[in-house]
Amino acid sequence: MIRIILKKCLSLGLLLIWLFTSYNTIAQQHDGREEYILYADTSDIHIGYELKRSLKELTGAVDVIEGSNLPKSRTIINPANSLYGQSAGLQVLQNAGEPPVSPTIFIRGQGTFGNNSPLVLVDGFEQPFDALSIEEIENISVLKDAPTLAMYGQRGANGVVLVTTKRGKKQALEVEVSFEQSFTQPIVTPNFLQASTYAQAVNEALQNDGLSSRYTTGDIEAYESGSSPYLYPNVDWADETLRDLATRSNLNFSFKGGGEIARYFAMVNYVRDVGIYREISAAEDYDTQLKYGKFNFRSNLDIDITSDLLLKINVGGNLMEKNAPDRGISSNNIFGAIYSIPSAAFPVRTPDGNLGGTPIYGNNPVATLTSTGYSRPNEREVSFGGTLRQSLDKLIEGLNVEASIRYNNNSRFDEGQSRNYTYQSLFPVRNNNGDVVDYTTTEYGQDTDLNFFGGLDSQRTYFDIVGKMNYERNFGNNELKGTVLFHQNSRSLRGQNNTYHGQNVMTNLHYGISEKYFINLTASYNGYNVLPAGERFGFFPAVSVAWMLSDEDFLRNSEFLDWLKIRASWGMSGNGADRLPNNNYYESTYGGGSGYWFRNGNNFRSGNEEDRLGSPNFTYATSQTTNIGVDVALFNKLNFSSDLFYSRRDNILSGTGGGYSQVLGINPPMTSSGIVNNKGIETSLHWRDAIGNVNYNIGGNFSFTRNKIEEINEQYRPYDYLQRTGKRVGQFFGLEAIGFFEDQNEIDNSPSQSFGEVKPGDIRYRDQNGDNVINEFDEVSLGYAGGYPEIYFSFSFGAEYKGFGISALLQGTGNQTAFLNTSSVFWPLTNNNNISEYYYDRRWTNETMENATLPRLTTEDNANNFQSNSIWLRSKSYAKLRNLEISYTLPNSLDSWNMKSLQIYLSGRNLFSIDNIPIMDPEQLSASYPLLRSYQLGLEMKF
Amino acid sequence: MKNYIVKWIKRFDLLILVMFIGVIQACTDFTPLGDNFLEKPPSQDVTIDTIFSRADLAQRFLTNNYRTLPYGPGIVDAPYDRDKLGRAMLASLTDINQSYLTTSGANRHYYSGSYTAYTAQNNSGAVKYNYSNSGAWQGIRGSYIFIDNVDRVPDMTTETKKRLIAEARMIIAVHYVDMFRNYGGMPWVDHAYGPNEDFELPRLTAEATLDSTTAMIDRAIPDLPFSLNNPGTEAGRFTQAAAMGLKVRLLLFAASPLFNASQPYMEGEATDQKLVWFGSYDPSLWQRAANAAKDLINKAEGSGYHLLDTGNPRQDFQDAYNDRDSPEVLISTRVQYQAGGDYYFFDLEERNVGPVTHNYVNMFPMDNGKQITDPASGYDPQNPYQNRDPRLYETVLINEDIYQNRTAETWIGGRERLAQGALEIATGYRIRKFVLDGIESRGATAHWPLLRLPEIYLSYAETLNEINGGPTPEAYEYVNKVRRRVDLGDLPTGLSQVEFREAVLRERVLELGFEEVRWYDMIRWKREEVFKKTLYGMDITKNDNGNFNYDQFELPSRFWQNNWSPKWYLSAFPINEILKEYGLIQNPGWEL
Repeated sequence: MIRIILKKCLSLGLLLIWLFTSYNTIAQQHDGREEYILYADTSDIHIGYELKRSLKELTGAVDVIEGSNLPKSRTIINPANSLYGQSAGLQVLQNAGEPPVSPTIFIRGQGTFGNNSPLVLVDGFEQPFDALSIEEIENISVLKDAPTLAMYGQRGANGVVLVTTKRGKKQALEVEVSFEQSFTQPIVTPNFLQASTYAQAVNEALQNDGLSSRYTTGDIEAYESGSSPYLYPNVDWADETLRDLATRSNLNFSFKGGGEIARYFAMVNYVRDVGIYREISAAEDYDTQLKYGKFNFRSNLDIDITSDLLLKINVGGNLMEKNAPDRGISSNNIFGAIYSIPSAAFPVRTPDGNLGGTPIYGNNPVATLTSTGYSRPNEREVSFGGTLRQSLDKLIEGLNVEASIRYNNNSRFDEGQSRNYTYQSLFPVRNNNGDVVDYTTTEYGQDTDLNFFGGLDSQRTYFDIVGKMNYERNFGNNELKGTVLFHQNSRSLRGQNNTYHGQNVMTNLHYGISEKYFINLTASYNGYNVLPAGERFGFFPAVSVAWMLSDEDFLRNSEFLDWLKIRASWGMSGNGADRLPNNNYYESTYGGGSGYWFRNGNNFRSGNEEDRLGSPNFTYATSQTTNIGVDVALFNKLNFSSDLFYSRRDNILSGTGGGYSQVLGINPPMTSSGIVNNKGIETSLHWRDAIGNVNYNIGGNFSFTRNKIEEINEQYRPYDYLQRTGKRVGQFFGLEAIGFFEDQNEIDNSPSQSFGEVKPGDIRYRDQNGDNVINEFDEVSLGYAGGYPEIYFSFSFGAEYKGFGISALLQGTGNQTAFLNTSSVFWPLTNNNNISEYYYDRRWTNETMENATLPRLTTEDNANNFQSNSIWLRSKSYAKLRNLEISYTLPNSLDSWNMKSLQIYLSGRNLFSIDNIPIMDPEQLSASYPLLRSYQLGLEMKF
Repeated sequence: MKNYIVKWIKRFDLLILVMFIGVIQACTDFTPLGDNFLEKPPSQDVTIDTIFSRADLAQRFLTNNYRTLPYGPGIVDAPYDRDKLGRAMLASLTDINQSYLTTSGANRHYYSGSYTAYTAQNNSGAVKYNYSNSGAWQGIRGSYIFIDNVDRVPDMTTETKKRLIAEARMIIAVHYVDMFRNYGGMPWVDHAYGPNEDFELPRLTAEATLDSTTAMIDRAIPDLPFSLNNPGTEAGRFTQAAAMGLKVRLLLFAASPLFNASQPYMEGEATDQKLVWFGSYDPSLWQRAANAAKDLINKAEGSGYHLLDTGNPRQDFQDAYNDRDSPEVLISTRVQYQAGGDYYFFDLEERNVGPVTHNYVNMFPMDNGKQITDPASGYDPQNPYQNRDPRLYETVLINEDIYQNRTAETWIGGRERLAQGALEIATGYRIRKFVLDGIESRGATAHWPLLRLPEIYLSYAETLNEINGGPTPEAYEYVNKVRRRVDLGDLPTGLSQVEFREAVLRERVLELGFEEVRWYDMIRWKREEVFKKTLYGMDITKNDNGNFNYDQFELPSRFWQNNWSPKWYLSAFPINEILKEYGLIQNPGWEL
């Protein structure tokens, strides 16, 4: 019933709009006005829901990143990669090297132990960053505090990133063509031991474990001499599978312009990445190189249908195609094989030409890369947005109404062919003296034909409807801006119980007195279908004020003070509901369970079980944020801005295993009872000046955040130091190492370490509770958290002289901890893993015990050493040169070519890193596609 | 011209508007507006109503609860209790087996004496009974859900429903019997609790727990078939014999001196509240146990249950515990069809958990039935493994016995013991029961004999000895029945009550070794001296002339040998459960 009424209302509303439109058209004829300029100057800052404020009017903490100021790196694929260090409140952490290279983004650190991802909106609607190309971004607003976040109700608490795409202006056609070629290489690749050293290391480990050696002296000599490369191979697996340089390129055309009635921006962009794998001339007639191509397009139109009626149409999207090894083989599998297979394990190919392998090492990296088949996933995304805005000035001055819809669909298909392969082992045949005289072979696996697979991988649909009314009017020196809107959004993923629906009623009121005092009130009433009926809606108010001190009489005439403004805000926002893995958390569910072997034959009877007990008391998390800020400009050269904030998040969905009796017999339902507070400071400082003809600027952003868990339904822990409550989210816990045991005597006279047998060279731990036993109750908090840094900073520098330009961006982090548990690299040999040179050089032996920093070698699952402890926890802090760029803009002598400007540039990304982890990149400590350093050559032409 | 444009715009305007309305209308067909928008979209959710709308789904729900049953040693891919004792065996805590797996719970927590209520807290604590993840609470909850809902199933006969409810009650009972033997009195769950209910239950007294569990079994008994009519399809399901046998096990444990004595085994708040004893000695408990055993024995003989005796003692004994069709297995649990991988002792044996003590080997008599200490037994210390109880060769890997179709070599340097330090056979002996021919037996069909008829016979003999102040002829008869199956001579007659009791307990460990019987015998009889006993291994060396030398050596000592406390008889509740403060009172000696 309500649905029908709403439909009718909507139709009626649109009819009314049309009537007014007609009226206005007629009025316009009388008026004779022909121009209607919707957009004021570009200093308008987006604060959400397409509302804009000038810098002066702004009462909240909003960072603006102009697209034109971003590093000219067009081959970054995902535009989020250009945001390192660009805003004081936005923390961007690189964690992938493989296209689409999606970094992790936080706003103001970690405010919850639940989902912490900010809401990313493109032109007002939710859409992931990787759907865009950098060329279509006009600017980005980072919304950090309550007055803006409250507008988004249950989705706002983690912060909002508003991406605004480019639009046309009333101007002649401007065409921009750019091309960039990039060469990439891994930032760092770990080195592993040569075969003979590896064999010695294994023997040493076995001896340490009290087991007999695996390699004889003769074996080791054979590895050393390389005289028998098939039986005693020495393979550099990275060299066999990876090439030195990979390539990327980007080609872009964009068109911008407009006339009296319509304005347009159109863009086509193509980016291509050819991966780091070596082109191996296999017998196979298919290619498994990682190839990634993405074609992006956008067309944004603004049409003044009448002087009072504006239609905006945004169409954007992309087509992606990728080539990769078989779908079951990720780059993690390939790099896992490269890292974990020792150089001495087996040859790439046996003398018969078969792929090498052994029963222990079935994953020959070359075979994994080339002989498993291939996959060609492709992805399409299209987004359509339409907005109709009717000015009702004729009715009430300053009033307009607006209706928008947005439809977005992304689907990913996977297609390819997979196959299995045979690999062959060689076994030496020895004579009576133990000398190798021959070998025998055994084959494993089976060569199969290519087997086709294909189908829909994933699908995602967004659909949004917004109806909005704005009022904006000046009364003398005072101004009033008000907005009321209704927003209905939905997101559906493939599969069931994956549909998220929300409704939001939002109102915003802004009042400015004498352009000096500003007050802003926001409230939203927002509900989600994920929550139990009757509990779906929440109310989120916010209030904020700003005082433009430098416009007061007593400061107006200051010689050096150009701008001084203070801001303060308080408000609420929510989080969580739409980030849950299913939309029916409040229901108990049943599903497949364990089966049982009734009957006497091999007859398995499958079972059903209760999966999950519904959570009756659950709701969205609520965040309350207080912010004060100051903005200063001095000498017409220096800009300074700083914000202090405190926020408290209540009702975080939290497991309750720690509180309820086990007799329940199933995991107790989660409750919305977690509390985290988060506080911090952000500062940015920028200086811009000229010395003679040299214009230069230097600047920096700095942020520090610290959170504390106030309530997490903590289970009982016998000692205070074990408590998670009171610590930061994701705090590392581990044993405190106090060196290595020198001999059995020392072991006998130390508290017993209860994780397994301890030998000299194993890690010795501090007995924190003095009970003379080292166990899990001796774990203390060590370092910081692993997932996010508390300190995030950047320095930038730029200079320009007669068309020559240079710019640099250094970005770093602090107060973050890495857990060095990568097998083969940091945890060697156990489970037949490989061993890195790094470990071998630092290991404990009887001879090196003075200087050793890592424990003895072992082939066993040494639970005493291989667990979270201070040996493996290391500062993850780094400072990286994210970008260095030299450019030259040709003088204006190009008019004869009809060219407005021509710029060529050279740039480098990730050129160096200062950090504490020598063998791997601190941002990537797993065996996976490496993070890349790159060199770009680019050309940019404007016509 | 201008007017023309304006006109055009006007039409265009209308056109756009109509299009816009069209788009909105089209979209709202896919997405409802208003309140409906926040309703859950239709989905194929499996709810409790789905489960109990069809007989096959309801059956599957019960099947899942069968999977919570105990199955002996912990294995890796089990849904519950996957790390029981860190892959050691319950036998590793007794005098018959010594684990050399340093990471096992037996070594880390029990041999070292470091076990506390903190250890019990950790879900992966590798303890002998895991309060949180043994599968007990999960199985009990699931069984109650079944009992309370199966009535709704339309396509199932009342007879079937009654029988399946009885099976569900048995799953609950099996879990309570185990918890009773590890903790004493327990919180009693009487239905599946909802999230808003108060399920913070305190412990019942030992007596109330016993009564509730017995009543649960008694309710199941009448609705179960005594034995399976169609073993081909029903094997593994609970029978009436299983229920009656479980009751014997429970009542015998209850009648024993740990709980049934004039003095508690240890002081503590749990003792004061009678959670870990009955408060006084009640001889009628022995009579109840005897009656329960006699009921089963009377009914069993002639109803399909009997000792397997085909005249081939070794094979009969092996089939008796290992064969899924064994006529003497009362409760058989199955997590897998075949042995292998992480299932069963194969893995344990390779992981250095299988070494057997020389003390255990010495318990096996000569095949004439006489103890090796008896001068008349014919025992030859230079040939110690000759002419022994056939069960010795089936339970322990013995030097020069047939193994993997060849001769076993357990001397130092032999194939089974390549070096003195070879941990998988560090005591000089290795488990053979369940392991059979080791790696060559992988793929054999396997199950866990949770309860066997010989245990009932021996329990009956034990109760008669206690009731009558000494062994009756009937008591002798039931011990000898077990011995005769392996062609062992009868017990000597004229034994005193104490001598007979020892003989029965010894018979139990010989017949039921590694079947999780010895530990509970040691604690119910408060056998402090067994805990404190020095354990030995055996170094066999082969001389050049082919003869063997036998050197007994002491095994590494266990904490409780020199620091005995009766607290070890029962398990500690996890400290975090105690501190949830719902009335769980810690067992004596484990308080903090």
